[in-house]
Amino acid sequence: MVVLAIALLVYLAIKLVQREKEGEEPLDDERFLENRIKNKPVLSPAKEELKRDLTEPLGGPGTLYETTDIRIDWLPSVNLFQVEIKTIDIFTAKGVAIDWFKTKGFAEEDICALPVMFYLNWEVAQELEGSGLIFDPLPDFCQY
Amino acid sequence: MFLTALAVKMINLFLVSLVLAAEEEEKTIGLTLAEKVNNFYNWALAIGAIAALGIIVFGGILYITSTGSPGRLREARAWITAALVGLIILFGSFLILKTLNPKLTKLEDIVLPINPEAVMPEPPVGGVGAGCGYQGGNTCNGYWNSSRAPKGNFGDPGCEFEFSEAVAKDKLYAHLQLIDPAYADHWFYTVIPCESSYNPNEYFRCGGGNCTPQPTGAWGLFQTGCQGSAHPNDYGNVPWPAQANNAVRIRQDRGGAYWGCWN
Repeated sequence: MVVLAIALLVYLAIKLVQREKEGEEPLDDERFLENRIKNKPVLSPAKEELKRDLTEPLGGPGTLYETTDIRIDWLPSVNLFQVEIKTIDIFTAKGVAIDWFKTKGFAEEDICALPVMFYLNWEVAQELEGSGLIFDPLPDFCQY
Repeated sequence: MFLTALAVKMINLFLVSLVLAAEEEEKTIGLTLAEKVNNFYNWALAIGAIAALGIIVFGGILYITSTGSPGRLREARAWITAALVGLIILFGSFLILKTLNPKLTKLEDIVLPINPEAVMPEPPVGGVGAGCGYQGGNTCNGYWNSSRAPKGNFGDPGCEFEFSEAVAKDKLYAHLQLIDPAYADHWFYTVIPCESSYNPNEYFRCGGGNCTPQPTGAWGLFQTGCQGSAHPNDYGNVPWPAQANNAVRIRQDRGGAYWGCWN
């Protein structure tokens, strides 16, 4: 009786483990941007201060810089600088955004640590569809 | 032999309980009532395991010192059996409940989350529920023009994106964290930019008027369907918080493979 009960418990425990594995396990694929960003370098305290100086005047989420080709947003709940690219010349647009961060005192490794994410405006994405262009949503020098 | 094996098992269970309890112990600052009850449960489990181990040892000693006396042998067996049954009830009840329905074992504080839809204005006439044709709606001072919103403004009736896309995206992420924390980052970083570039009024015009799996086109941030075309929650032509709620329900039922941009 006791042995049967223990066997039943072991069976239930195995089923439970299997069920949890199938269920809510977050994706850990390294292709996914969120998982790459988890491995980003850490921002130095001095550059954290610089980041605060840059974002605090907004008092929350907001747009830091905008041209006809790009828009740089600060999203505090995500802790992310997000750049919308509004032109098909995406490499120049990425460069403009990166230069803007550099003028604010961030080196390339700091920009990787902020972090900064790029995405294509829908019209641009549609226009470039089928072009075979590979778009990396992170700065090209960020190796993570 | 059997007793030795059982004793080892009991020690294992006890150690596991202690580890669980210790993990909970690390987070004791500002605990809610539910967390306190959960901690108490883990400690009770550990104490129960210790008590059962003690009783088994006592029964074992009684067994060894019975010198063949049938009465004392019977008493020793009774002690051991009672301890084992107690342990099985202790650990078994949790396992059985969790296997039947994991929610039965989760004690959570009652939290009334803010429903983002509750603070949003009513969708305009011709908006939600107007079928899969043009849905009209407020253009938000021309912000949602025919290029950005080819099916009208169904996704942003409160004009939050017109006010500030950054604020709206920030709220979108917070909403995803609230309703689907395990996948919020995946939705925000990977799926939404690929499906719609964060446009709650996006509409994908399908070749020949047919899409798979949505024959009525793909709508909103998550490019889901219209009027439950491929799933009971397949409504992308609704305000953006509801788009998120519907997408999460579809994911829970069908998994991420539903989206072309999931991987």
